[in-house]
Amino acid sequence: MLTTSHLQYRYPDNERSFVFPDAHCEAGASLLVHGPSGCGKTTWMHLIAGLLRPEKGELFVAGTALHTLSPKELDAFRASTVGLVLQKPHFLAALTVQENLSLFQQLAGLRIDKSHIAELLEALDVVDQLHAKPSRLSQGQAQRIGLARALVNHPQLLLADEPTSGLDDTRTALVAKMLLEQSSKRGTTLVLVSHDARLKSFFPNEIAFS
Amino acid sequence: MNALHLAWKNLCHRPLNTTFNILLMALSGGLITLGFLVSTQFEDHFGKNLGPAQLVLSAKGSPLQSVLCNLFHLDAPTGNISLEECRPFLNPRHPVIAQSLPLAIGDQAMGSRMVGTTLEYSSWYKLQMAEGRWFEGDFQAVLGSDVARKNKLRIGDRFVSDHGLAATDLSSHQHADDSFVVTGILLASGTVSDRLILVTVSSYWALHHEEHAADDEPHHHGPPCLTNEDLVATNGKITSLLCSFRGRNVQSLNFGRNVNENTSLMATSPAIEINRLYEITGNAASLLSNVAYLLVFLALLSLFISLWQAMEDRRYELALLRFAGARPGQLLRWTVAESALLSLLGVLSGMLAAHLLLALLNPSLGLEARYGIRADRLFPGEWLVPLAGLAAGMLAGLLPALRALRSDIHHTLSEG
Repeated sequence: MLTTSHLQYRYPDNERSFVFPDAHCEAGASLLVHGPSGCGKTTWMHLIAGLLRPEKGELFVAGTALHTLSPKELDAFRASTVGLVLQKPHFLAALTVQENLSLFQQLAGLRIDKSHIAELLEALDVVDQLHAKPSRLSQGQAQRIGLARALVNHPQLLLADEPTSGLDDTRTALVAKMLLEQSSKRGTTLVLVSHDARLKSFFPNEIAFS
Repeated sequence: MNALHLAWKNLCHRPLNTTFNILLMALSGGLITLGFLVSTQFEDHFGKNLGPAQLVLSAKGSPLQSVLCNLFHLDAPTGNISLEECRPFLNPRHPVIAQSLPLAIGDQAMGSRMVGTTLEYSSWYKLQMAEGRWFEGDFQAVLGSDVARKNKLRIGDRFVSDHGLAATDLSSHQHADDSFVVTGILLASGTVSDRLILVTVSSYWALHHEEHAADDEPHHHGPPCLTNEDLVATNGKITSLLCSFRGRNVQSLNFGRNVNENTSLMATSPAIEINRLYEITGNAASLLSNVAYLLVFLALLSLFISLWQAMEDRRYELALLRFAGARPGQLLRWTVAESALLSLLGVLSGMLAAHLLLALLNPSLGLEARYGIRADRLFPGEWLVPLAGLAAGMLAGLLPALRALRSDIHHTLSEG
């Protein structure tokens, strides 16, 4: 599912460059990328997501050689293959939860499937917020709906960037379990990037960045 | 969800901001519309009513007053002139003057001006009769279409005239003894003739017969004067004589000056006087339009600033959309659609308000009655106003959109 070899990235301003350890993850499995802040975890994740292009090295995600794609092809790849969960989910403030999710379906070139949206929200126990505006959501609800949005286009790869930072131990466990449960239920590969050492107990596979 | 739908949602999401920007755009668009609506119809009105008149002969006084009174029926007459002095200019074989039209002005009936003239009036202004026929004697009247419609007068109806031009004139009293019979109603021409009552010059004289009985002025006691030829054969007073020239040459150019220097008449060129009028009103109009353009600038600046701010607030949203596969061109379209929609809504509501305001004010200001300015007309090129609003709105949205798209998704998403 995910294979990287000799991956390197250099920022355009030439100030920082990263050499990343090789990584591998089977389809449907999970992987924790762990390391201190500023070690390039997010940069690495954005390479995997097709947001950045590597300076050197090879990068295969879901059978696609990302290092060979054009920016336009990368846009299409992201939309169809990758779901992204962020520490603080952001939504289009003018749209309801349902409209936010269906806009993401539309952007990926998929048919708008309202029953799928309802089913996702149901599974995450936030279906009552279907027609709520994002500003009305509690932090926990927003995080669940952020996950629903990441899953709405049936991605093969679910990426999560520091989803637990700032949460207490109970919450951290809840979020980690929710991510693992939803991705394994849907056969989605989960790659989680975090400096949070508490997550290690939930993930059998781990790569440490330094 | 298309660009317009999303733009609409975004506008509704910030109702105060959106309302303020729409109001600003409406104010500037409306002011421009109102200005053009009034100025174009004002000039059109004067251009249309000029007719073939190249020279107005009247009693000495203000030249502009003479033109306003005798061609546009707006001002009071400068005085009376005697037919004796006019006789050479009524001669069809005059070397300089091709045609002339005598007018007697000073009375009104039912709030409309009554004008004494001859049958030449019809060909001079190229008028057509809707029903009935031209006057064949004194105390017969041909009504302009508006006069007939407003007073619900038909052929054969009778009415009496008031003396004096203003209905509230204290010196006015009804000419009760003599009533006029309607013999004809003119087809609407869109000119001032629609609002006039046309009678023979000799009716005028007959009306004033009693008032002048004490003085020594000669009076008309003969047959009615229907044509210019009839007038030449009598004595009396008229208000003015409108003249057209045989051609444009040195003689015709000097003719007016010769009249002014050698006779007690005043010769006035309507074209020159109307241009002077435009210069006066043009200054006011250009002041108004400059204020309007300043407002347009302010409205666009406000639109630009609030969009710039909105883009700053939506930086994260836009980065997420880019992550989810939105192409930069798509996001650009969405953002530009938002400002274009807002600007268009503003300009359209401003235009509507301008027309409504004019319709509302028209009865009290009498703009239609006096200058032919109507609220239900579009000025030439009015369709360009919403188009310009659309283009300006797109332009105001373009820069914030481009800036938002230039920002790096990777950086924005890394910030948390």
